Amino acid sequence: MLQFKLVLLGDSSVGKSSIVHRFVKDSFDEFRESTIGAAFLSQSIKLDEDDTVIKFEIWDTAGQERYKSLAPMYYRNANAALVVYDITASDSLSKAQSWVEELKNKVADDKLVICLVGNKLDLCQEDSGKRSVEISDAKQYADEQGLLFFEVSAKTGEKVNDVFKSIGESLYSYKKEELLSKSEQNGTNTHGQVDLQLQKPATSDPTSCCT
Amino acid sequence: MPISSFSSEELSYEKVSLEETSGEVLLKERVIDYALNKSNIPLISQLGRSQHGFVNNLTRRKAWSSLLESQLQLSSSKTCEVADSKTINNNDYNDDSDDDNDNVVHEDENQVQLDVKRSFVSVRDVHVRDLLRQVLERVIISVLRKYPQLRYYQGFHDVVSVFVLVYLGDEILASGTDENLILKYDEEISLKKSVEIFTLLYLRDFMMDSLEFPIDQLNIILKIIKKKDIKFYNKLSLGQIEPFFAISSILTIFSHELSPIMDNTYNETLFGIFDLIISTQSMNVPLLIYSNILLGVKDQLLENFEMDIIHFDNKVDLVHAIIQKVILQSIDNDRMWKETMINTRKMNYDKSLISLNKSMLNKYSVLITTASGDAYYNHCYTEKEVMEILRKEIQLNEKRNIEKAQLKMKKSTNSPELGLINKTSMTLAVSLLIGAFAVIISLQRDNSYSTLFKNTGDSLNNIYEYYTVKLVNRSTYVWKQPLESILTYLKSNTTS
Repeated sequence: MLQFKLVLLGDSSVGKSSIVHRFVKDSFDEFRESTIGAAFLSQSIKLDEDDTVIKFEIWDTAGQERYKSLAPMYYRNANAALVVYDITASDSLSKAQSWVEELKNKVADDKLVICLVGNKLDLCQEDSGKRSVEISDAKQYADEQGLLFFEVSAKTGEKVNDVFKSIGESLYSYKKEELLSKSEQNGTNTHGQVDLQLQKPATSDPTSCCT
Repeated sequence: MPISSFSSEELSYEKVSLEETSGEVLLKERVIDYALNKSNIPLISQLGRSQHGFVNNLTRRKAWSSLLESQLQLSSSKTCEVADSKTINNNDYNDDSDDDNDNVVHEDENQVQLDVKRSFVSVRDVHVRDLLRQVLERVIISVLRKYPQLRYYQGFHDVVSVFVLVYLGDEILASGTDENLILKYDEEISLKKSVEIFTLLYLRDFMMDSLEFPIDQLNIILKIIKKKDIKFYNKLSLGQIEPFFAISSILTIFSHELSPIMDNTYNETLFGIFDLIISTQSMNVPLLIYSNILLGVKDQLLENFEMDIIHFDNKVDLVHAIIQKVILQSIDNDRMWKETMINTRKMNYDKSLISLNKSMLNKYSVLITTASGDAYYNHCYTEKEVMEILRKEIQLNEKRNIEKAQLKMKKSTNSPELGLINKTSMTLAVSLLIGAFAVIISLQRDNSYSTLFKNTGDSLNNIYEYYTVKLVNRSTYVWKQPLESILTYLKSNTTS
């Protein structure tokens, strides 16, 4: 089993917790209470390739601006970030973009997998007039920045699992590369080995984050 | 999972039979009524501090109002009013004309609406839930508009929803006719007043423009644990961990975790926490409760710590995750709560907390001033005093924010690349010097040397001076200025 740390970021009320609950508990509440600080959940998936099991350690953060100063504590050491916006609220895309920028500036790991996710697809399927972020615009931005990109509905569950699967696949391919280069170095064949630690070691410096 | 680490204190609870408890509660209710009739504030606060708190919501709201109004004297002309007060039958409060803020939208109202929309999620009855949400929104907006200098935080709505349930929960449940609505709005006026006082005296630290002061409060939890159980503290490396895991419990006074549901036993615990806070005028209570919970579930935490240590190679995440997991598992454990409350009642009188707070918090913090637990007998603040404390605390917070931003700037200019220059500044300076001479020599070939040499003489002297004076002081910029002058000169010389 491979374990990865994933953090959710995005504006208030875009549906971060709803996406996580759809993924972890396959449930949806029309009104999910606000997240204060951050919530921790975990969920495993099986990839088609090699039957690899991937466990996500998920940190779901609060969306209000004032909690932003806590975010580094959650994205530090993260292997993946899910940056969420609401496709019916154009402001939320620019918020998502500023999160992407912050991640790129602050997270040293160039193998951090960032996935841009537009939520509330169901609302636009009911009434196309509700859409205020065009899929092509968001997709173009994601391509430019080298992000994974999905439009999902936490309510219907559409594409939610695909998001995590695709993140898992990216992480797994990085992991395999790392393994290969390691095995070349050591001259041993590690094919098939999955007992790995991908996370970076904990920093013992308490001021390294959020100060 | 049984809680094994509790002391024998809880046994006294186990012995009390159900009938005895209900008899005790009935008797207590009558004593509270008596104290309320006599406006005996010391007695009311004594009763709120003991087991069962204020017993039920009818006595509870009267007791909260009496206590809170005895702690802060709001000037009558400034009684908290809502902008849309047309529907309120408010003969007693008709002097709202001098309050201009009521109609000015607060900058955080958008966030309030987002959170109110998602409040009372556990209330199933749609009509009741809508009524509760309407009241919740009115109360929050009225406080924010009256005090625009306060910032709204996600979680404030959870705290206010506790007040809404205590003051209006029963009425809203029973509502259905218009006659009931008038009664309800009378209660709404005292509800607003109580929330207003509670906000100013108890929640002020959380409503600054940053999370600095709330985080200071969270650090007290770690200090309490260190003092109570150093082995446990060390085992979880709490000295190296920022206590963000406690942020929602403290900022919402457990109302997020114990999310209030009508007709649910959780409410008694949650309301009891508020009874204790208001009766002791002490915001130490949530911090003590949190510390006591952690100490109470110590065995499970240590067990999970050992179990999960292989999954996380990052202790910060590990501790954060297991604390959140274990607390969630124990949140509906009645026995844990009873024991926690017993311990908290005892510790709340601990005078050493006062000096701990003073060493850890800003001097205008609620824990040092208006909700320190140190002045619960008849201490009444005037509105003017509290406004002054609030003004100074906001000032201090701004100062802190600026300092923090400066520190951040300093850190980012002190990036690893620059650090390298710092260490090797001597080598770099020398190589740049050689480079500069190479330029001079190349210019010599262009026959411009003779003029140049004469003029660069000053710059070279400059370099020498800088080296002897500044290099000794290991300045990073030692080579910059003189070289700049050479390069500028060369540039102007070669272009001309």
